[in-house]
Amino acid sequence: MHLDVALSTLVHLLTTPQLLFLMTIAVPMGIFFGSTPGLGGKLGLVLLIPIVFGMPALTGAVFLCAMHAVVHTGGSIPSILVGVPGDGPAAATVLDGYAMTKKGLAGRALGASFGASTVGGLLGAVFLGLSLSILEPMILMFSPAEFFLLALLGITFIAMLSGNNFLKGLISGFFGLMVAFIGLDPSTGDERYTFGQLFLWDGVSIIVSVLSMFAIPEMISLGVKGRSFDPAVAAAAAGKSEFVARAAAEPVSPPARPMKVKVSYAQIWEGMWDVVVHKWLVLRCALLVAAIGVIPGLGGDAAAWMAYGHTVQSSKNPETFGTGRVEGVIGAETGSCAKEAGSLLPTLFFGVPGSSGMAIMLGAFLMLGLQPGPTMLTEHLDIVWSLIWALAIANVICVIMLVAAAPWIAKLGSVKAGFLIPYVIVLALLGCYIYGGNWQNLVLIAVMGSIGYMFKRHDWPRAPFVIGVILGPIAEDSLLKSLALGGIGFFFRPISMVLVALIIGSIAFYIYRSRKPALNKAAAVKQDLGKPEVKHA
Amino acid sequence: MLKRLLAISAVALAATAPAHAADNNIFNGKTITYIVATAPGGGYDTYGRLTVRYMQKYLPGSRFVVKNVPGAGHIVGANTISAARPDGLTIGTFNTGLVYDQLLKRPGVRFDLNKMSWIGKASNDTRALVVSKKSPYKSFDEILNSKTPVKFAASGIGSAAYIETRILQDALHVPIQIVPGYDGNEAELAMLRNEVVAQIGTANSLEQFVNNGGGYFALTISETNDLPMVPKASQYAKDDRAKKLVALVSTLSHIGRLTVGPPGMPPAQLAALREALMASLKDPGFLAEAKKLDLPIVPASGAEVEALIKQILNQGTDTVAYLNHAAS
Amino acid sequence: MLEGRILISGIMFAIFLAAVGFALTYAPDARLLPLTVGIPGLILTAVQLVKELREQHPEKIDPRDFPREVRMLGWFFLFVGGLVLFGFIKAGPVLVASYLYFAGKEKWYVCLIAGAVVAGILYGVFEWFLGLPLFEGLVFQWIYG
Repeated sequence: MHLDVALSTLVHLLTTPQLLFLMTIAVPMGIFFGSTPGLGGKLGLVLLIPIVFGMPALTGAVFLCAMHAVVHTGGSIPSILVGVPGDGPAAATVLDGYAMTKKGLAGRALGASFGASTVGGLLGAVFLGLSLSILEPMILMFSPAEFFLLALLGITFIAMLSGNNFLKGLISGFFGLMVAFIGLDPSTGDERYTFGQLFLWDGVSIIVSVLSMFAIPEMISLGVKGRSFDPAVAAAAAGKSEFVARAAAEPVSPPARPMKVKVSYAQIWEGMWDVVVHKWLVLRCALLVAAIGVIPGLGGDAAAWMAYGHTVQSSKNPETFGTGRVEGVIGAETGSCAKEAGSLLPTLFFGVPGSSGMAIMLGAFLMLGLQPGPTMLTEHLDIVWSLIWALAIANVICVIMLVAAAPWIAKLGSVKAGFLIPYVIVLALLGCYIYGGNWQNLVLIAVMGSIGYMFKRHDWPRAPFVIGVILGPIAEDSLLKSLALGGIGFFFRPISMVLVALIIGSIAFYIYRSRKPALNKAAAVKQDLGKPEVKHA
Repeated sequence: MLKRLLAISAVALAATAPAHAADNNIFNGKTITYIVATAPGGGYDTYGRLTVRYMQKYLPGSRFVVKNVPGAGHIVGANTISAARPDGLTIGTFNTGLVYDQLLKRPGVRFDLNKMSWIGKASNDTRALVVSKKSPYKSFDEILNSKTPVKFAASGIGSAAYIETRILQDALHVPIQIVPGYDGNEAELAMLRNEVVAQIGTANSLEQFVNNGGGYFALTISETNDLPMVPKASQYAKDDRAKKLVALVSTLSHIGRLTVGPPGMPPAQLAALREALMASLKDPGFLAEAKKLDLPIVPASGAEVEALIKQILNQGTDTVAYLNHAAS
Repeated sequence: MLEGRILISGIMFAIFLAAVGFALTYAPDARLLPLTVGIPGLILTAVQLVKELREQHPEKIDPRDFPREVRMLGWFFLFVGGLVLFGFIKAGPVLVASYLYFAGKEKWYVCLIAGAVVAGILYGVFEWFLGLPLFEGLVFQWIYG
């Protein structure tokens, strides 16, 4: 199992000052790019390529991998503190992470997020290393039929993520699917719902969808209510920490100063300990996502949401997700980070990028003189292992840096609402523009942002919408390809049948679950909140 | 005596001055935006970013900024370049395949390649057919003579690869079942999974796949000499329709990684840009970097590209009719 | 006055109605999936709309919220309009400073500083450091374009 190569490359990485230095500066860069909406790892990689150009192959590749590994961790910071997702997967973190901040649990959310990202990234790297030999047959087993069924499985999560608003959630999900259909039809090349606008030919980008559903409504809501704490929500969690009780007592009259988010290290450790408590969830999510990430064609966004969906589905009380369940943060973050490790594999071995970030990496590898392909396994095993270790080490460096800086980072959560709103709106609009390059996206976000605000205002679940937007194109594209390649018979292959069974099982499970008495729900929620009080220093 | 010496020196100096002295200081202190019609990363972006670094060197005092304007298969970027002010401060690159979009009068096209200011091109775009090693077909002839339709992967409907696949199907009567929707390298993966047999693409992009043993070059549609041992499509073109369409594809293949500006650029600016581009494409440093990036460089001047484009776009109506038939 | 919850249900119903309507004009292959999703969606939104209309015990709305919502949405559209017309670097700082002054009721010098910081970030980080040209705004495109 290449143990000797694995160990020697690790030692080399840890004992070469130049490499350590580069990994250490790559991490803050990754965090910066990840935390700015729309910039994302892709652009970061492109901008770093000229810097990396003259370096020897190993050095350059390690630097880029290290930066890319922590982008999602960076994205979790604004997601949790301000409710602004940096990219598609980050929106899953917003759902419960931001809710936790509103309950006064920002520190715990951050700790859980950092811990989960690191562990997820590490597990993904381990999975990568272990599966090197069985990789090729595994990738080749998945065809468009399986992609379609995987996408369908993800779509069934819409029901799961609707909480108590099943009908609204379903409509939200269907709305997401309809938005996904905007663009050129893959089977005929005809324009659908584009109304002559060229910028819509490629559809509505995930950044626009996610920012208009989460960031904009949050900012508008902040402007209306004047505070990030919702006293009702805080009162419900009263007894958990002293300053939440104080918040509950404050009158509702904007523009009130929001409560200072005092984040102590104790809270952060508590969050990280949560990751240990939920270790099986972390393991399951990491494996699920790394496996999906390995298969090019499903995409990184889908993988991260599948992890979140699985988290919700496997919990005792799915309908409480979105109100601040720490498992939600853990599942989402493990998912986002593990997928990057997974998608490294097809990039290296087939020259087929497993995600859009990997597409850039591929270009960078070629530029550095690395030829992706089966020869990587035979001639450049040391480079492969070095990259795997780089992913792991970068995650460790990242968590150390973030935990150390956490109290200062958390101050972001207590910035006065009035200051935050205009900055975030400009940043969100900027992110959409940078990502898509067309000013018309700004008008689109105005329209969708308004709808997003109304969704938030009237309790329409927004997570199903994101699932629809992400999985819709994959589902349609795969379905058409499957039918073109093999007709209906394509779906009767072994793996397809397993997936069909999973889908039916998933739906059945949900129906069975929704019959449980409400009492169980109250008991489980109490159990979650009834953890030992952490004394604040 | 001195006067005569001075006179002789003056004449000698004048004689050694370059014949077409474009004023390369014309962009001193100016910022030139180079528009790439794709998202960051990928072939066009890489070529573009490399090119501007060297053009900057040959236009002293200038600053180049790369702007990505993706969308609608390069059409948005091309529209943007075309609509820009023709003062030489906005130029860019897009897929040569947009020629098809103009010939087919695709909605959304707001550029006229005939009128744009051509600055030069960096490479060839040799179109070739790659067949999977896992398929039962060992040569193009076997595919041609197949009794059942052969599955070809293609990118989106309306893309250059799709149109060229249709040309093979329609004009060369190859029994093809096109499966569209494979973007980027997905088609190669599909070939490895034995879902499809073949795909048409740029020879340089597919080279690695072939070298790794995934497939072989079965046919080249271009008359360029990038793939000398591979049979040429022109051998199989029997009738007027086939000959004209293959000639169209072949001529287009000579223009890859183009650089162009909006219509109506003043001659001084255009000359300066053309000269700077050619100098860049021949610069030893540039060539070394390009080699390292595995980017083949086959330069041609703006004047040559302009002539080729005009030749392509002024095809007879019969060719356009053939193309319309193939693309429908 | 139309309650928000009825409005959003109505909007969703209208969206699905329009989507199905347009889908029917597309080619058979192109309209397959939009109709598969659109028609059930239309039914669901109709059910939801009826449910809202017949709601006996609607949620309590704070009457102070409505004018604030209108104001906030107005600011949002102003931001979008400003950025689209005048670009990020010029409109960004002005919009941020204006919001802080008028809506946030901050002191004028605080607004100016905030505006300057925004300008600094937009220009310094994005245009200068990252080399990413930002949108100049339709007005300036028209003047200089």
